[in-house]
Amino acid sequence: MEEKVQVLILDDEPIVGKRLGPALMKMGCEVEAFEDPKKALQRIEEKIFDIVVTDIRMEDIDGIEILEKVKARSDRTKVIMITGYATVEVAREALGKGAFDFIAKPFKPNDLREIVYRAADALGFKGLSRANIGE
Amino acid sequence: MNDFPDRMTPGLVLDEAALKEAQKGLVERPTMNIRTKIIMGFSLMFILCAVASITYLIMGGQVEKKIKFMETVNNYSFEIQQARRYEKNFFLYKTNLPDALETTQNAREILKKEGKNITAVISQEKLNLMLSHLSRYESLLGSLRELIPPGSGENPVTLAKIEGELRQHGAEMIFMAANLVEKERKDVEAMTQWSRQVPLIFLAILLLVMIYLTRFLAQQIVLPLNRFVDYTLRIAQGDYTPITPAKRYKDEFSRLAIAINLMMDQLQKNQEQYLQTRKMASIGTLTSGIAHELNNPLNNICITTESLIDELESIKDEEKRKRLQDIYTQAERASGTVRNLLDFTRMGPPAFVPVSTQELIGSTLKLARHEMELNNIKLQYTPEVQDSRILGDFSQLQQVFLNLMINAIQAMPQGGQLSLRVNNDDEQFTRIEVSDTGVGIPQAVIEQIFDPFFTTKESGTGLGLSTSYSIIKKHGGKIEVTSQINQGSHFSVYLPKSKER
Repeated sequence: MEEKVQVLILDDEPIVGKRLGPALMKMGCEVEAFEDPKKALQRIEEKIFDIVVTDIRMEDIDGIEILEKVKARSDRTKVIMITGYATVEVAREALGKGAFDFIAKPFKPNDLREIVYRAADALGFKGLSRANIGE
Repeated sequence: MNDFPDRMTPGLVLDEAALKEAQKGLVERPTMNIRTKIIMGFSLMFILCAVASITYLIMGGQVEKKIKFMETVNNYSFEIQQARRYEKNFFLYKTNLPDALETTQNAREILKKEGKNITAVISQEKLNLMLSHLSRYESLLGSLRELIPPGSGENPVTLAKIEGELRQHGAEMIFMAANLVEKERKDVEAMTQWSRQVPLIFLAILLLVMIYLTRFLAQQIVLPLNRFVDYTLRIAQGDYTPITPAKRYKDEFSRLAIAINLMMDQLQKNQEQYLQTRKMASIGTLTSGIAHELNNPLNNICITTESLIDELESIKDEEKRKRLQDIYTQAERASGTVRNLLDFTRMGPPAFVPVSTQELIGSTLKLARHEMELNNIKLQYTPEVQDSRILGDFSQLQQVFLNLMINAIQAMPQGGQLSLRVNNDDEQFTRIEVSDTGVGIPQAVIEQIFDPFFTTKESGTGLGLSTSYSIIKKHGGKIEVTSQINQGSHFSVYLPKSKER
């Protein structure tokens, strides 16, 4: 196991990966950001990530499908779902399929960092920086 | 395409001035109530019946009088005949002279007693003539008694002369009586015959009067009713042109017309509100799409702002500018969505103006685009090379196509393709086709899909297509649908082209 927490971010909004990537890297994660769900899936096949952050609603492939694929590949991977418009049904479905947590748009990077921190903690990573949290 | 309404200028907008004019015209006419006309008609019938009855009563009285008269004259005639029989006996056997006198007396009594009954039928002169004959006869009989006292000798010459005169008067009296009776009998016969015909004639006249009355009432009631049926059909199709006076007089139907005009005014206002409600409802079905469309830029703004705050010291000015530019672009994106929504839900009276087909479809697609993306729906739409213009209300037409697009999206829960095509081959109408590759509509219900409250969706209101239908009708256009189960549905909307280019 590598020392750094391996994180994959998938959102078809380019800004999300562009801005969240550096934010998570600051915490001490190693981040790969994707806009295209197909490319992200390819990468998931190649590499086992510790944490996957994915948007639920995307063109072509939706987040639930990503969740299923990730869980099938590696059950210990924590999947965090981003949704633009949370509905109870989708939340229930995602949690039922093993998602770690939820975050609804619009959110602050700190909110996500907090969830990532908890996920990493649950996986047994202790070295993450929480310095920015609570700022 | 022959079943289009002739009216090309839609009557959707109720002209307040036209309404006022119509109401004024309806009120400012002399009154002639149907009630009054019916009363007049039935009074006429009553008068006719009364006249017939009175005629009948008078005739009955007349006949009765004549019969009484005939009885009297018969009695009189009988007494005279009796007297003549005694007179004959006297000349043959010299007996019965007092009897002859007595019966003559009786005859006089009868004429005296029944004088009134007699003069009711014949003139006083005739009665006088009868009386004078009787008097002469009586006095002749009297002179016979004086001339021949019982047992005295006879004077044959005088006797013969008296006899002659007696016979003449006697015969005259009987002849007169017989004549009178005969004449009256004929009269009575004529009258009874006539009285048999009177009911038939009366019935015939009554029939004619009733036919006239029926036709009159039909004209006064049935014709206006038919007219009002036409009005309501016209109103049902959305033509709110006010009812104008059709007759010279105002009656109960004029009040109905006034009420209907007011109702149309109200309907028009309600319709505007209804369409507004429907618009809001169709936006409601787009909630998740709209939420995404707003939340994505807002999220981008959030995270970019925070990244700027975090790294304000460490990054170069150029990078700061880049991120600020990102924030600006995302804010624009969000406000574009809001503007588009506001444009669509803007309330206002409908206005019929030339509408660009491209602009119409483009703006509607903006509203539905994200919903399509979320549902994995591919759009196939190539705008026309040359834009066309249709005559209509932009916002209402937008609603029509938004409804069709939402239906198409909802018909493809597993994703699919939504195609839009514009066809301008027809001279008068632009055809806009919306087709999907969804579940399709069962043939059994395809006739009902434009009915209000008909829905195949679990959470549908059944008002989307019926609203679209009524909007299209009001534009003087039409909508057609073909569908195949599991293949998809195909809607064609025909809208009148604008003459202004």
